[in-house]
Amino acid sequence: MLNRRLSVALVAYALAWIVALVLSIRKKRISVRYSMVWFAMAVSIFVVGAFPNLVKLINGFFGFEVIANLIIGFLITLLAIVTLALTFYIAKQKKQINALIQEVSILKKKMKDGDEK
Amino acid sequence: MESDKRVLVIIPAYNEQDSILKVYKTVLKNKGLDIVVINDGSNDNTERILTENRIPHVTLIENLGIGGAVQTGYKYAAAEGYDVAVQFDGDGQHRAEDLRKVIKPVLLDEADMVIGSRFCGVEKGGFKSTLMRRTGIKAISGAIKLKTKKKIYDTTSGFRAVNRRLIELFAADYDSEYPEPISTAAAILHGCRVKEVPVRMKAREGGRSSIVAHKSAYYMINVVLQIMTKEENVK
Repeated sequence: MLNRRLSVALVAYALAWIVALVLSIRKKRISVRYSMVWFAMAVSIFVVGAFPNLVKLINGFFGFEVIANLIIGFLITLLAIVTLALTFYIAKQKKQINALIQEVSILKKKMKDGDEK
Repeated sequence: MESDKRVLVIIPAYNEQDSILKVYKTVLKNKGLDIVVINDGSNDNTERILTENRIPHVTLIENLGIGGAVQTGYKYAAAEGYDVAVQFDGDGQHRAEDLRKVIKPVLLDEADMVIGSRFCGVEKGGFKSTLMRRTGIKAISGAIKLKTKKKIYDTTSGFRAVNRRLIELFAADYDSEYPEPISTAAAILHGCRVKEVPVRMKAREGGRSSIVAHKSAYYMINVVLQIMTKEENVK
């Protein structure tokens, strides 16, 4: 069974995350689009903390001996998903930056050629 | 060249101050070819040499690596309406005497891509590479064979000519790290005719190769993975 103190801690932790995210969005430090995955993580942690019986039910399926292991496993999986999503963004941005550098450089050549004519 | 097709020689150069002028001059001896040097954000005197000698060049505002540099050349060729593009290294490894041999099958429409190859019908003498590198090339060649059913002997050769169709394909999508074997596999998977012609290569005249020995294993795994995960029959 999920210890009561741990439950409270998880809920508080999740709420802190959500507050930090909302503040970051308001200060435009993070875009809503890229905050989604973090919100998903915070909400998941909240659910785990707020509904210990649900966790117990789920553990009935997975069969961890210690429920903490289920939670840790769950969080690691979430982090892995976040990291994977970030890797996608990086690959996409690298492609965009490459294209930008290439096009700007070609344009610069054309401008220089135009100046010389 | 004995054709009305417009041919662009793309010469990628990263810190090639010792060789770039010489390479440009030898390529220039082949009449009827346009040349563009892609200065990949060099931090030596490459830019000064290019400007002082009025060598047509695009200077990348940041270093992109060989793939990004060459792709810039393909984008330029695509925008300027070239029919054929030839990739020719800026370090003096490739011989300008072989240019016609590599371009001809594309001009005659016998192939969509021609690779200047060190290993097919080996011409004696000239270039010899390290055991590690040869092993890597063999593994990559095997992966291409497995994936495309076609044997390519010199998969890492940066001496190649392509027609308009592949200029457009490469302008849109070109691997930034290890482009040669991956673009070759892509060309075959797109149903293009890829041909190898034997050429000789010299030892490098200056600068450093982008393939360093201790990176060989990473290189091999990266390329093999990329080739094996490519989509098939994308026509």
